[in-house]
Parts: sequence; C-alpha cells; structure tokens
Amino acid sequence: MGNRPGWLAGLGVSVAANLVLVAALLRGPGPAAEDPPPTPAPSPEPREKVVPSPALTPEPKRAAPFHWSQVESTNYPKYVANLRQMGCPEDVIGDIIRADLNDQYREKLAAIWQPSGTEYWQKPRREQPDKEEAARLQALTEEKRQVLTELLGSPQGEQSWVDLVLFQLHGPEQELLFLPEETQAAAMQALAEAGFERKEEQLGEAANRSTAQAELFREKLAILAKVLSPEELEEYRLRYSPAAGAVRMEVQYFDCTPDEFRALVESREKDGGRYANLLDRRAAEREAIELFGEERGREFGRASDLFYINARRAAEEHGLPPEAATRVWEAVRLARADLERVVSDPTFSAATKRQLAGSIRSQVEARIVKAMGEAAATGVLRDVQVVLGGMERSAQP
Amino acid sequence: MKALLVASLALNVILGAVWVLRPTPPAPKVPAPVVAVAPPPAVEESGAMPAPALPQPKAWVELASRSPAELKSRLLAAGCPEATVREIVTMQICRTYRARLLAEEARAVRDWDFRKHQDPKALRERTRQQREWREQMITEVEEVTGTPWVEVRDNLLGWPRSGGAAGDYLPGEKRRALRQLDLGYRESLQEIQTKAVTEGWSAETRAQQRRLEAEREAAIANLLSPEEMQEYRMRESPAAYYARQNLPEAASESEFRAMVQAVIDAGVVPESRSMPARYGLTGDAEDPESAAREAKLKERLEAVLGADRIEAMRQVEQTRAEEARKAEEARQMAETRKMLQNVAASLGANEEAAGRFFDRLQEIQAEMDAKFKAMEQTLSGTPEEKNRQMQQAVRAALEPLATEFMGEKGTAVLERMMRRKE
Repeated sequence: MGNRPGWLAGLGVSVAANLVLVAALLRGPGPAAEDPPPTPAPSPEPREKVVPSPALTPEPKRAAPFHWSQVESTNYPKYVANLRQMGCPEDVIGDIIRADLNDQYREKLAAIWQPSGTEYWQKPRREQPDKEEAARLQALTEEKRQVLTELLGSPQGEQSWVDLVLFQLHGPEQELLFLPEETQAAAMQALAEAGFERKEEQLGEAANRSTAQAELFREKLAILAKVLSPEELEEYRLRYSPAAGAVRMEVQYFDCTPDEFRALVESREKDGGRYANLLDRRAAEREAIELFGEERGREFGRASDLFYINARRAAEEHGLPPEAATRVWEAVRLARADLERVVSDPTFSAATKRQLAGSIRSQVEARIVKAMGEAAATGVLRDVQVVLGGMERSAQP
Repeated sequence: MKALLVASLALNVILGAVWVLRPTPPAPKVPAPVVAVAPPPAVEESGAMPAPALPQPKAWVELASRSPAELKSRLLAAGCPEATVREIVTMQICRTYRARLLAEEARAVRDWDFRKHQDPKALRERTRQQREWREQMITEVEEVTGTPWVEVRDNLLGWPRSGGAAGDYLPGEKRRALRQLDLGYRESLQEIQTKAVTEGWSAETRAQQRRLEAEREAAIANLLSPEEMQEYRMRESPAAYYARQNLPEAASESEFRAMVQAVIDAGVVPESRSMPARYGLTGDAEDPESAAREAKLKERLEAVLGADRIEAMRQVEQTRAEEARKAEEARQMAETRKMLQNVAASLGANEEAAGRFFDRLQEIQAEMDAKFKAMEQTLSGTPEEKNRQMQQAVRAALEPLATEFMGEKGTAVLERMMRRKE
C-alpha cells in the first residue's frame, strides 16, 4: 500500500481527462465549425479547397475569343489562308483583298496619271492620259488583276467589281440571265478565262466597230459553245447577235413566227448588211418572198419599210388605226417611184424636174396629213423632206 | 483500485480516439467571382508580340449577320480595323441590292419575246426601279458606315479621291433627302427632254419643262435652309449647269457665282438642241421669249463683270475652242490611220508600211487637193459621171504611191479604203 497516493493521483488525472474528452465530444464536431468565417475572402490558394463554379474552372483546350489580329497579315497569301481557315466566304475574302489592293495601287496609278480635278465653279475638263500613260496604266491594272487572280485562285475581272459597287448591269452578265444560275456562272467563268472583259473594252478602239462587234460575237459563241447546250447557245444567238438586233428593227410591225425570225437572222448573218436598208426594201422583200412565199414576203416588205414603221409608231402614239400607216406608206411609195422616174428622165430640163418634184412632194405631203392629221404627221413629213429632198438634190446639175 | 485506474485509462484511449476521428465539418460556399474577359491575344504581359493563334474554323459564323449594322458592331468588337469593316459591310449591302437587281432582271429577260424589241414602257419602269434601289443602297451604306458615298466608292474602287464632291456642302441627311427628291423629278424631266430632242422643242414641251423645274426648285427650297438653298443654286441648279456649260470659264469662285446669279436673274434655262434642228431640218419651235432672256443675260453679265472682262473671256474661249478643234482633228487622223493599218493587216499587207503611206498622204495633201480641184473644173457629164471620173483620177494618182509603200497588196488596200469612203 506504500504506492497508493501515486495510483490515486494517476486515477484522478485519467478521470479528469475522460471528463474533458466527453465534454469536448458532446459540444460538437470541432473547432472549425465553431468559428466559421462570415464572408470568406477569395482564396489565392489552389481551388480544391473551395467548390469552384464551372466558369472558374480552367479549360486548357478551349480557344480564346476570336480577335481579327489572328487572321490579319501583311502577307496576302497568309491573309487569304487565314480568312479561309476562319470560314470566311470566298466573296467576302475577295472583297477584303481587292479593296486593300485597290488602295495600294491607287498611289501607283496616280503616279502615272490622274485627272487634275475641278472645283464646282470651273468648267468640266475632258482629260485623258496620253498614249504612253494609257499603256502604263493598262499594264499596272493588268498586274493588279494577275496578283488578285493568283491570290484568290480564279480569274478576277475589274469591271464586275465596278458594276457591283456602282449597281450597274450590262454585257454578258445581263445577257446570260435567261439561263439557269449554274450555267450562268460557268459561262461567266469561261468568258473571264478567255479575257473577254478586256476584249470588250478594246471594242471601243476598233476602227470599224460593227465588224469588230460581229467578230467578237462569233468568238464569244465559240467559247460559250463549250458550256451551253446547243439549244441554249441557239437561244443566246437569237437574242443577242448583232444580226438579231437588226432583224428586230425590221420586224417590229411584222408579226413573225419563231421560224421566220430564225430564218431572217441566219440570212442577215450571211449577207453582211445587204438587206438592212430600211429605206429601200426591194432586195429584202425579194428575199422574204423566197423564204416565206409571195403574201408573207410582200407583207414583210411593207411592214419593214422605214416610212411604214415611223408612221405606225406615230399612229399608235396618237391613237390612230394601223390602216393610217398603211395609207402613208402607199402614198410615199408611189411618190418615190414617180420622183425616181422624173429625176432620171434625160428629156426633162432641170427646171421641169424641179417643178415636177415640187408638185410630187406637195401631193404626198397632203395625202400624209389627210391620213394622219397634222399633229401625228410631223415626224413622217420630216422624213419625206429628208428622203425626197435628197432625191431632188441628186438630180440637180 | 488498480482495476479502476486501468478502466479509466482504457476510457481515455477510447475517448481520445473518438475525438481524433470525429467527422470534419462542411466548408462554406464561396460565391463565384465575375468571369474576366480574355484580353486580345496579340500582346502578352511581357509586351512581346506573339504569333497569333490560328482562328477557329467557324469564327466567321459567329461574326456574320444579315443585318449590316450588327455585322459592323461584331466586326468592330472583334478588333477588325475600321476601314476593313467599312469595306465588308458596304460590300454586303451592295451584294444584297445586286441580288434583288439580278432577280428582277432575270425575270424580265426570261419573259422577253426576243423577236421584238423590249417594251419601252416596261424598260422605263425597270430603269426607274433600278435608280430607286441604287439610291436606297447608297443611303443604307452612308447610314451604316457614317461615311459619304463618294468617299466609300472611291476607296473601294481605288479611284483618285474626288475631293469636293457635289453635295458636300450639305449634311448627310439633307444630301440624301435631296437625292431622293431629285429622283422623283428626274423621270418626268428626262421624258420631256427625250421627246424634245428627238422630235424638236415645242411651246408645250418648253412649258412642261419650266413648270417641272419650278416645282422641283420649290420642293428643294422647302427642304433646305436659305443658306443651303443659296449654295444649291450656285453649285447644282440648272442655272449653275448653264453657266458651266455655256458661258466662258470664270477666273474665280466669286466671278462664277456672279455669273450664275445673272443666269438666274435673266431666267435662262439650259436647252439641248434637238436632233432635227442639228441636221438642219424643221425641228424646234421658236421661243418668243428666248431672245429677250439672252439679251438680259448679256446685259447682266456686262454689269457684274464689265465689258473688258467679257471680251477677255471671249478670247480665252476662242483659243480653247480652237485647241479642242485641233485635238479632235488629230484624233480623227489617228483613227483613220489606224483604220488603214487594220485594212492593210486584214489583206496581208504590212501595217507599218500602211502607216507610212498614210503619213506620206498627209505630207502631200495640200498639193493633191489643189490638183484635184483644178481637175474638177474640167470634168463633164451628170453628177454621177463626174464623181466616177474623179474617183478614177484619185485612184490613178494614189496607186503608184500605195504600191511603193505596201508592195503589190497596196492596190487592194487602196481599193478597199476608197470603197469605204464611197
């Protein structure tokens, strides 16, 4: 029993420790819950200590927001490639690059030639580059076109861009509109590859425009033949050949069938303008009789005569029936035949010819006014003055 | 006692273990901070320019918008330079209007019975519609880009900058309204002019033109402030146009304005000569007031400029007209020379030689003219016979020269050229 006070002390410490532990366990989970921070400050520590919102979660594979500097480059092929990479449509890429290049070439072009410009209070000037300057401007424009073509990978015409900005429509783009869209695009491409834009520009410099135009049209048909079906090509020819344009002038008051129209166009394409004279329809009428028979041929001869056409147009404007134009045509036809006989008759003196010509002219003028009335007759009377007057003058010594 | 101590120590161990292993309390929720905007990737914190990352393949899809204003704002937000934004947005507007134009034209072209000319009334209506769309397109471009059309156009096309464009004295909104107003009158005025130019001016067409011009002027005066209206009169009115086209060039802006005012005071209006009148046919009806207006204009001009200045201007104009005539003559000569060379080339002759032949003809022209004039007096017979004889004489004189320059093909080239002349 000599150690009893030591045991008692140990027992007391142990019991006290038990009491402390029991009390601590009965109070709650632990010291952290006892004193929670009222508003926790953002922790600079690793985020696993807090429950992060998804937005804060770093996503290493997700790209940063797009910025234009990612595509822009002073190296054009790279710029184009970057724009394609970002899914930019080809026409927008073309717009961006072309506008940029145009800006760059503006200075170069101006260094060769540029109009001096006028103030509003000065007279407009017709300034043109001289031959050498024009050639240098052309060469530089061609260089720009080639750069663009190389960058964008397809032929790039200058005119189509100008038309787009200025809201203009003309030439092949307008002509081909009757075709399905895909065919239009293929045809435009074929013409661009053949350099047609430049060829049409050069048409203005041709010494004989109508011959050059006919030649260019044949060339155009040969190119389009590779893209259009035979039926489409035939329709294109009947719509836009220079010969078709001339035939439309002749048949504006002749109700021709599609076959008759085609036959006339083919004839005009071969004859080189022999039948195009609207003042003298004799050759054209003979040919039409051969093509369409006596009745239709004669009708064509009358309806395509310049006097008939002008009288018919005036009749329409003044609400007169077509018969008024027929009466005018008949009167003028007879007067011209009479005058031709008079001026070519060697037995008449110059004075007699003048007197007879004057009488023929007065008679025909009176018949025209009777058929149409003063107001509607004005234009036809002027034509009579020109044509009959010319015949009279040619007979004077 | 010993057992009690052991039991108490065991309880110490158990309670200690329970305390150590007690559950951890849950952590408090932290509010998520606002998401930071990523800076443009072009500049890093170090300040060095890194190679930009390749764009995402579908980046354009997120930028594209059918609304030009929206497209503009997205492009700007993406850091696209303003000039490029203007180009992209303008071209989108242009393409939208072009699609409309192409659809309408395609319909008309397909409907056309190509055995006949297109109906002039329908053509006029299409032209009117196209002008209206063009005007709308320009307005939209100006509104979205905030830049005058002339500037946008010159930039896109790489044209020399126009500088003082017509209408730049007006704010954008008024300029657009003026263009719109003008569009409304242009059709009717053009119709009157076309009729007058092809058929000749009549008292009726003159009265119609004056009435419409007066109506337009009143409408413009309604739209502009008095100061703007005065500028309009001096720059763009029919009187300003008349002064630029028909009067000698002014030496200064103030002189020009005095001249325009004189035109306005005299009531003179521009009038193109009709085709019949140009060719010496009966055409334009006499305007009984025209002479009085012209006289009044002369009087007013002398009053504001002085007789000496008018005479000096007349002399300058005369010199200018003479220079223009010479330039035109030179142009025609060059054209004929080119034509001769083309004919030579088409017949297998040497182009250069044909050019030299032409130059030689120019050198001896005066001598030849005198020779043929003398010969003309000796000819006899009907006019046709005389003409034939003259042609033969010209052929005989020129053939040796043509052969000398172009060899044996020279005769054929000369023959072709003479037939063209006939």
